Amino acid sequence: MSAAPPTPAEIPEAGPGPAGVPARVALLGNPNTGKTTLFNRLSGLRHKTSNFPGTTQEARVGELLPGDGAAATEIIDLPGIYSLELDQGEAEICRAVLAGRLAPKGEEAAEPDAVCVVTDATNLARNLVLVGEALRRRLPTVVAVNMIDLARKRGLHIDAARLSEVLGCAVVLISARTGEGIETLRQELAAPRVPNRTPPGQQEQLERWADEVYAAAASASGVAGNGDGPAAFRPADSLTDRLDRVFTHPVTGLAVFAAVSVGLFYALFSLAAYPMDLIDAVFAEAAKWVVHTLPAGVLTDLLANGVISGIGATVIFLPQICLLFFVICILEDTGYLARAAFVMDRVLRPFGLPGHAFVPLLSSHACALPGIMACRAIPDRRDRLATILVAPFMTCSARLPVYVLVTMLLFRDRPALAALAFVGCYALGIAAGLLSALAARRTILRGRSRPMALELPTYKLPSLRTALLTTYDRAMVFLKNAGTNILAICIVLWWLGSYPHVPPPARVVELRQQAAQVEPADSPAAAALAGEADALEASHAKANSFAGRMGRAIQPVFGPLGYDWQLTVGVVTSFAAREVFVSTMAVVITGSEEAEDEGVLAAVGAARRDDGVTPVFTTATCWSLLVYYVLAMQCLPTLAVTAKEAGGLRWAALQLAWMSVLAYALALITYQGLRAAGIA
Amino acid sequence: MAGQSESWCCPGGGRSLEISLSKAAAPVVCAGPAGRPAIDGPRIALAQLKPGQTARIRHADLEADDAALLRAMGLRPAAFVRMCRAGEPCIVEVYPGGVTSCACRIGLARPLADRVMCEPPVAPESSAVV
Repeated sequence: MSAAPPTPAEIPEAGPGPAGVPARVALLGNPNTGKTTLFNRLSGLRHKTSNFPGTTQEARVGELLPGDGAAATEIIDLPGIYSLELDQGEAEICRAVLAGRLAPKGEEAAEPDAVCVVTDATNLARNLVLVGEALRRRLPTVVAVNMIDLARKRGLHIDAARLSEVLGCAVVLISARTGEGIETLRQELAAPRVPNRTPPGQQEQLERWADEVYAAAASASGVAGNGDGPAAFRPADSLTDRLDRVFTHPVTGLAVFAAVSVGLFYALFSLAAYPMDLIDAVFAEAAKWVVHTLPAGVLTDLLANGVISGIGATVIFLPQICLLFFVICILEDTGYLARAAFVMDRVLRPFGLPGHAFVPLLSSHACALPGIMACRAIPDRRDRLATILVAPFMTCSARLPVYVLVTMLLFRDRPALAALAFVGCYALGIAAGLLSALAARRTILRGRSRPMALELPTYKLPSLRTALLTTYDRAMVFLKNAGTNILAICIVLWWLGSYPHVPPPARVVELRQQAAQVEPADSPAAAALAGEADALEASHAKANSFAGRMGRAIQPVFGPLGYDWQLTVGVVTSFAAREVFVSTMAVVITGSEEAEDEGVLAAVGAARRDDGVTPVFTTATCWSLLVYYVLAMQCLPTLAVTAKEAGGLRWAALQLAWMSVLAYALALITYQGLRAAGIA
Repeated sequence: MAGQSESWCCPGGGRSLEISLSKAAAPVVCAGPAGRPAIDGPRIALAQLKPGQTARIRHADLEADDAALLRAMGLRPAAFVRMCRAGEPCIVEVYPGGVTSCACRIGLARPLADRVMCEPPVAPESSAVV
C-alpha cells in the first residue's frame, strides 16, 4: 500500500519540541480499545476512583511513576468515546477535561500537560478520527496503538515510524494485556511533544485524512489488489464469525446467556457463602469480645450492637460484590458481555431498558448493592438511572428469610404450594421492576429511547490483572461507603431500637427470683426460667424502644393492610434491612431471635393480637405481608448506594417513595380483596 | 479511496428522504429536497442486505444525534459493510478505512439499519453469521 501524499492540512508545522515531564496525562480513546487495561498497567494500585463533579461518570486518577526520583505523573482515565464532537455526556466531559474546565473530584481543574490517545490496532482506521480530533487540540500527544498482538495475528502490519511521521507525534505499538511496548510508552509519556501537524477540522475532510493516514501506515497481508474494491473483501476474523453464530443467535444466544447467568447467580449465592460466613463470624466474635472486655455501658453497647453489628451487616456483602465484578470484568474483557447485551436488548427494550441492564438486574437478585453499582456499565444516562431505580424490585437474598417465614405460615406441610408462592414473589418483583422502568421512561426519564448501536468488540483472552484491579477498585468504593454513610445509618437505627432503656416488667423480676431459688443453680429448670425471663425482657425492651413506640404510633397507617402493632413494629424496625423483620417478630412475640427454630416458628404462627383471639398472621395478612416485602424498599444501604450512583439524594428519595407507595397500595388491595372474598 | 461527498444527516430539516422501507429488497431511488434527485443511482437500505453481502455506504436519513454516533462508530459514507446477521437487531462488520482486515462489528437496531443507505451489493457472498 503506497503512502498518500500529504494534504494541505498535513503540512508540517514547527513544533515547540519536548514539553518536559508532564504533571498530568489524560488517557483518551474509543470504547473497547483496552484503555482501562492500559491504565491499570501504567498505574497498578496507585489509583483512586471518584466521579467527575456534577455527573455520575466515574473518574479514575492514577499515578505513573517514571522512577529514579523523577516527579510522578498523574493519569486521568477519561470515559471511552467515539468522537469528541458528539452531543453526549461522556464526550462533553472529555472536552471539558482537555480544555482544563473539569477535573475529577478532589483534583484541580487544569489543562492536561499531555494526551495519550489509545487506539485499537485491529480497528485503527476508525480510531484515527478521534486521534485527529485530539491532535487538533494542540496538546503534547502520544498515540498508543494497543492490541498490536491481535492485529499481527490477523495479518495486519502497522508501520509505527510512518504513522508517527504522518501524525506528527510519537506513536508506540503496545499490548496492554501482555505488557509489550509499555516501557517505551512510559518513556514517550515522560517527554511528550506537541504534534507538528494539524489535521483538518471539517468532518468529511477529517475522515478522508484518517483514511489517508491509515493507507500510509497500515497494510494487511492477504488482501487482493489495492484493497479498495468489493472483490478484495474478506471477513476480518472468522473466529468471531463462528462465535457470534452461537452467542448472538436468537435461540442458542439466549441459551448461552441463560447458562452464563445461572453460573453467575450460582457463584453469587453459593461460592460467596463461605467468605460471607467467615465475615459474619469475625464480626460476631468482635462484638462478643467488646462486650466481654469493655465495661458495660452505653459506649460498649454502641460499639458492639451499633458499630460492629452495623458494619458487619453491610461488609458481609463484600464477597458477593467482589465475585460479581470479577466475573463481569472477565466476561466484558472477553468480548462476551456486549453479545449478551445484544441478545437481551430485544427483551428489555419494550420496557425502556437497554440490553446492558440485564446483568445489573440479575445481580440484584443476590443483592441490590452490587446490582446498582454494576449499572455503571450502562452507557446512556436515562437508561442507567431507570435501571438503578428499579433494581431493588428484584428479589434479593435479604428478602428470603421473610418469604420463608410467611410461606411456611401460609403453606405448612404443603411444600409445593410454598414453592409456587416463592416463584410468584420473584415474578412479582420482576414485573414490578420492568413496569416501573417503563413508567419512569415515560415520565421523569422521558426522552427518546435511543435505538441500539452497540459495538461488539473483538473476542480475546481476558486480563486477570485488569479483573483483579477492577474488583479491588469496586471493593474499595463499597467499603468506603460502608464506613461512612452506612455506618451513620446503622448507629441511628441501633439507637432507635435500643433506647430508652426501660425497667424489666414484674413478671421478669419474678421469674429471675424463681430461677435464683432453684438448686442447683446450673440445672435445666433454672436455665429455662432464666431463658424465659430474658425472652420476656427482650420483647418488653423492643416494644418500648423508640422504634417500638413508633410502631405503635403508626399502627393505624398499617391497619388497613391487616397489620397489628406487633407486625407494624416488625415492618418499622426492618426499614433499614428487610431480614431484620424475622428476628424482630421472634423477639416481639417470643423474646428469642432464633426464628428458624421450629418451636419459635410455631409460636409466631400461633401469636394472637391484643384481643387474644385473632391470630397475628391470618391468611390475608400473610399475603399482604408477602406483597409488601416483595415491593417495599426496606434497605437503607441500597438507598445510600442509589444516592451515590445516581448522583443525588433525590433519586434515592424518589426510589423510596415509589416503592413504598406501590408496596402499600398493592398490599392494601391484596388484603382488602382477600377479605372481600371471604378469606380472613 | 473515499472521495464522494454526500449528505449523512439529512439537510433541509431532515426530510429529504422519504423512502419506502418495504420488506422487498428492491433498490430504491432517493429524492432530495423539493423533489430533486439528490443522489443518483439505486440505493438499498442496510437492513435489506442479506447475510454475507457486502456493500458501500452512501448516506443515511437519521436524526442528528444518531447520525453523528453511527458516523463516529465508523458507519460513514464510503465505508464498506458486510452483513453478518440479518434481522432485528442485525450485526454488520464495518470497514471504515477500506477493505482490509481492519474492521469493527456493530449491532444495529432495525430503525437505524433501515435508514442507512448503501450502493446495491456487488461482492460475492462471504461467510456470515447465520
